[in-house]
Amino acid sequence: MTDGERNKILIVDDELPNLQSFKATFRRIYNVYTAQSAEEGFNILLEEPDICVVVSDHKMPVKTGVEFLEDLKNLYPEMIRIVLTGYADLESTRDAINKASVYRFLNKPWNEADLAGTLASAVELFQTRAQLKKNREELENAYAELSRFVYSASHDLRAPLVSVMGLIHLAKQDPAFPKDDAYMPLIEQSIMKLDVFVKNIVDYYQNKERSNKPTIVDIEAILNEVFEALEFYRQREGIKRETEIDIQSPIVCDEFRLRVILNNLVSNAIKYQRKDETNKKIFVTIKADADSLVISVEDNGIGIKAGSLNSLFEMFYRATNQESGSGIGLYIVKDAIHKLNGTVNVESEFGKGSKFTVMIPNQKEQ
Amino acid sequence: MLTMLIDDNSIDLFLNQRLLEVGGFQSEFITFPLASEAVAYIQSHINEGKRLPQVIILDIQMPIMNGFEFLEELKKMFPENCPSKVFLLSSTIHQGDLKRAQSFEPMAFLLEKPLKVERIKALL
Repeated sequence: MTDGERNKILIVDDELPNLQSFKATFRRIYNVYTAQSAEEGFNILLEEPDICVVVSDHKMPVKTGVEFLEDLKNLYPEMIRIVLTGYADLESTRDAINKASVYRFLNKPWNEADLAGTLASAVELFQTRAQLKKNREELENAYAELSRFVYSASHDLRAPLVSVMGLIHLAKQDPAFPKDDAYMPLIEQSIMKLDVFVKNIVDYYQNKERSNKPTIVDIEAILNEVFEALEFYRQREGIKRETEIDIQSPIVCDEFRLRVILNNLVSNAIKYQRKDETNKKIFVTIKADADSLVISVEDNGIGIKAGSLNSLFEMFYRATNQESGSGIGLYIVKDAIHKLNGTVNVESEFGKGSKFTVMIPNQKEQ
Repeated sequence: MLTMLIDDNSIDLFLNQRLLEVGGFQSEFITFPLASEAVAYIQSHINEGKRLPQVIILDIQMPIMNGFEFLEELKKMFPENCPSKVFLLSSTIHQGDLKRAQSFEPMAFLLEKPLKVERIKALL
């Protein structure tokens, strides 16, 4: 075994014979560094920052072992700290535990077997923690990379989609285009469904990533924009829109998440209407006071079977074949509400309609 | 009125001009597939005292010079009172882009594709 592969241990003691005996005992197992004072110890650590265990005598002139280990805790928090002491008064013991967070407390003169066992487990702890840290960093990197990939992929997917939507829009207004063409509306429908899905993927990742940025929001304007974006469907299906807004106190909330929630609930209410209903409608209420914001979106559509209610917010769960959803919308809604510390409740009667009620704490202005 | 369209995608360049025309947006149009060419055009028009576009429709994601880099150039040419109103277009609005675009308001606004003529008329 070469020195490079052996784990590095530092022992600090003002008595040279102790250092020599320590080194003689452990030099075959570890790469042992010795120092006769805290100051010397710091200098060694500057040169060898990958030392994994530091053993220090407590009773030393200038700086005590506990004080030294306390400094070490701040400078090199990952190193495992062990204190050696011939006598243990209450105060130094308390400081060792509370301030220096030592791993073990060993008596002097040491028992060789005890010390060997302690060092072995200290090194193991150090390595386990290092491995965990490395794993976490790898996971975080992989996750960040995936997010970037999904974002740029969804952007690249949506760009040509948007071009196609624009071209269809133009074609329909072109006098040369046959008015009774049956293909174009079907193409448009398919494109729009795909577009909704791509947008959902973007929302999913943004919701996962971003931290809450509460601002004063104009919820009525958001609601109007949400309806505006869905106007095409709503009018085609002949769905009436009713709104009741009662705002007693400014709403402070993360606008992105609020928009995601409203958009999904309203678009579901539009999509899942009963085809044979003559009086299709959506009823949205918004109530806000200083403590909370309560939004309900109610429709008289197809409703949800009691057996499906529990799975409704699961990713990719679909309760019906009507409309070609992907089952991701309500999952994002649940996630967004969760991140806003809110709750959601569903009441539904199969064949009669559904009502989603969202309650979000009204955050205080920052 | 003169409207400048900048987009590396020729379909979108055609499409956005047509959407504006069909939407009753009264203007002449000039189109550029490269933002750097648009910068050169504006610079030469400033030098020669020729007319400048009142409206610029600008894509964000473009090679060589992207939409934000174009805006920086425009800001250098007009540190204040830019004669053009810029509409940045993006197919997916990322929060980072939104923030960056907001730092250019009221010179520029970020809009989601597809281009909606009414939105542009309302912001002019």
